[in-house]
Amino acid sequence: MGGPLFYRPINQVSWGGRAMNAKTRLSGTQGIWTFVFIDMLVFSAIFFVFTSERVRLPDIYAQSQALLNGWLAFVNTLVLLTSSWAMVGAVEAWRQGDAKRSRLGLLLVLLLGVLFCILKIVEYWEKYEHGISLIENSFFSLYYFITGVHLLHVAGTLLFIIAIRRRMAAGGDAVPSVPTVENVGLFWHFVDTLWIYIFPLIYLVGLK
Amino acid sequence: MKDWTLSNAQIWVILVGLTAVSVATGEGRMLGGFSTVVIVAFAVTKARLVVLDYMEARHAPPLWRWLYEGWLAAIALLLLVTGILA
Repeated sequence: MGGPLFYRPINQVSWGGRAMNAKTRLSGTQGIWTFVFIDMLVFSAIFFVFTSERVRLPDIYAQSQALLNGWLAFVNTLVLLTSSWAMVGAVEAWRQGDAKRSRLGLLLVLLLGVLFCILKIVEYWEKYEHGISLIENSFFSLYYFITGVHLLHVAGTLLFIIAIRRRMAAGGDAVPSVPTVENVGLFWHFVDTLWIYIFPLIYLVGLK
Repeated sequence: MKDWTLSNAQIWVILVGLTAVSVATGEGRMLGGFSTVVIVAFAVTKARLVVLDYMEARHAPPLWRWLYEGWLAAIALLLLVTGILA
């Protein structure tokens, strides 16, 4: 990659060690944008399977959907949206060289991310207590798969956030570059974007 | 024409507001069959705000922006069509 549509080195000035121009600016690295897009395509396939199954089995999907705890998912949506806002602040602070504010922002993202995971586990526990497993039916197989894969994305990104916070605190050569922090931020926002679609897909659309 | 942009805080308020209305629409079964249209329209609006402003795709080279926006539109269309069909 590197063609003019992806990357336009016109009027180059430095931005976190990368070329940019006055009109376009790529946050993070080309690699993270590619990786996120591949992940988007993978989720497209998963979403397609879920929606086509909903059309094939509308009654089972409607009955199963009614057993979900939509309010817990609503709270989790607010948690992720707030964490994305905190992440924007953390990345901006790092660009401005304010390590203390950046680490504080990342700590907030971390706490909200952990809260999301806890609430998701509570939701799974509720299902388990009602005897609803991942082999209950097509809906619940996909419910556990989609939310489970998303949960792994959240947990995995939290590990990266812990790592860059440590590197920020360590100082010296360990200090992460601006694009590195932007990359983690971009992936976190992508995880949030996924949830913005998973929430209506599984919990809201089709409620009767 | 005045050039204006939303602050990150204003975007967060819009995201939370749209989420609340979506939940009220879905859980409250307020609009019947039309609720799918409202819920999906709000979801794609929220996703665009996060991608364009929080991920800064608004300022990214055009192909990245359009690839990401294309994905957002495709998933919204999938949700909308299958939501109505079901």
